Amino acid sequence: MVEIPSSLLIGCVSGDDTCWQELIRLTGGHFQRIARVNLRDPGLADDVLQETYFKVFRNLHKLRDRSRAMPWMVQILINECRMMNRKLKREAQNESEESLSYQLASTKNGTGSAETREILGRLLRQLPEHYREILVLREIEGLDYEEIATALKVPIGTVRSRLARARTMWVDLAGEIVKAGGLLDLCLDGGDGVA
Amino acid sequence: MLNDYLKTLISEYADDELDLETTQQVSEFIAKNREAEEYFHKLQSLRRLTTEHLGDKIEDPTLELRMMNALRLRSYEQTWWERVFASRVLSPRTATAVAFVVLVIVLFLFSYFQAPVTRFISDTRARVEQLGDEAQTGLSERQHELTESLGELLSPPRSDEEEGKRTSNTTEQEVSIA
Repeated sequence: MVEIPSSLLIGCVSGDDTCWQELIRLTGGHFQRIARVNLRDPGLADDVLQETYFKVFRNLHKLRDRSRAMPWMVQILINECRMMNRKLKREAQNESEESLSYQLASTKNGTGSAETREILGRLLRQLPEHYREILVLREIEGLDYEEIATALKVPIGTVRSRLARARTMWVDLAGEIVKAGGLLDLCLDGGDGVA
Repeated sequence: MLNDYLKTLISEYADDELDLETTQQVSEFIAKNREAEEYFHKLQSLRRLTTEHLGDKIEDPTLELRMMNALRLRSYEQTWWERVFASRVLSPRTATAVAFVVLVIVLFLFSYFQAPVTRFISDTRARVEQLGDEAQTGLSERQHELTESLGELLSPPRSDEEEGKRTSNTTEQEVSIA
């Protein structure tokens, strides 16, 4: 996980634009990845990031433990993603298993990593919210259990059990959905043929 | 068939979160059990593929500029009083907690001061009724007096005979005095 220097946070609190730019540069890429996988519509990642940074901007002075700045910001981001997903919940879900299988089939036929990335993202989005969040923080962002517990505001025991359950569902889902496309073949090959 | 406990152990084994002894046991179990080995292999492959494809840094050179611009716009789009109001507004959870505490305090105060408040209210009511009665009585008396004086004022003027009698009586009195 990215370490945010205290001096940078102090600069941000005092309203230094350069510090804010640096903070966004440090965290922007990570936040974009988390938002894109967690949102039902990855195209809204910018809106969510904007709202997240605005809330960080408004509340940074309240942060007591500066060493926890990153999990704190991830927590705000996850909450924003949840709120956005709730907003989008009423909209029709166009992403059916059928279309996913179709894409997987085309991927197997030798397409690039962009498609694989899209499929993996959609595969993760098929998971329930709580499980998806924890998988994204662990597998994509590489947070340790304690950081995940802080970011999601849950006990560490819950992180362990929820992560195990999420992985079970993830493997099952990959096995179930991708029979037609053969994503598991890609997985077992290590993805080298796709990238 | 792997149960949840075994899958949890395999999950933590994959993250190297187990102690040495348990790690050894899980490792042996995976080596012996075909299903566990298959699950572990699939999981690790899926993790590797995901990290490779979704974990790479997104190249977005304009992100920082977009976010800074948005921050500046958001910072100045509200008036000063809107910002003050927004900074003072409690979060929904805090507001609920505060409302609950206030309700409990009000109930406690009400139960504690119920007797004195009731007594005060009944005393006040009695006093008000008494004052009302007194005012009513006073008004009735005043009305009676006014009616009498009005009656006197409106009574018919005295006749000439009576006036003559009064004059002769006066003359007689003057003579006797003289």
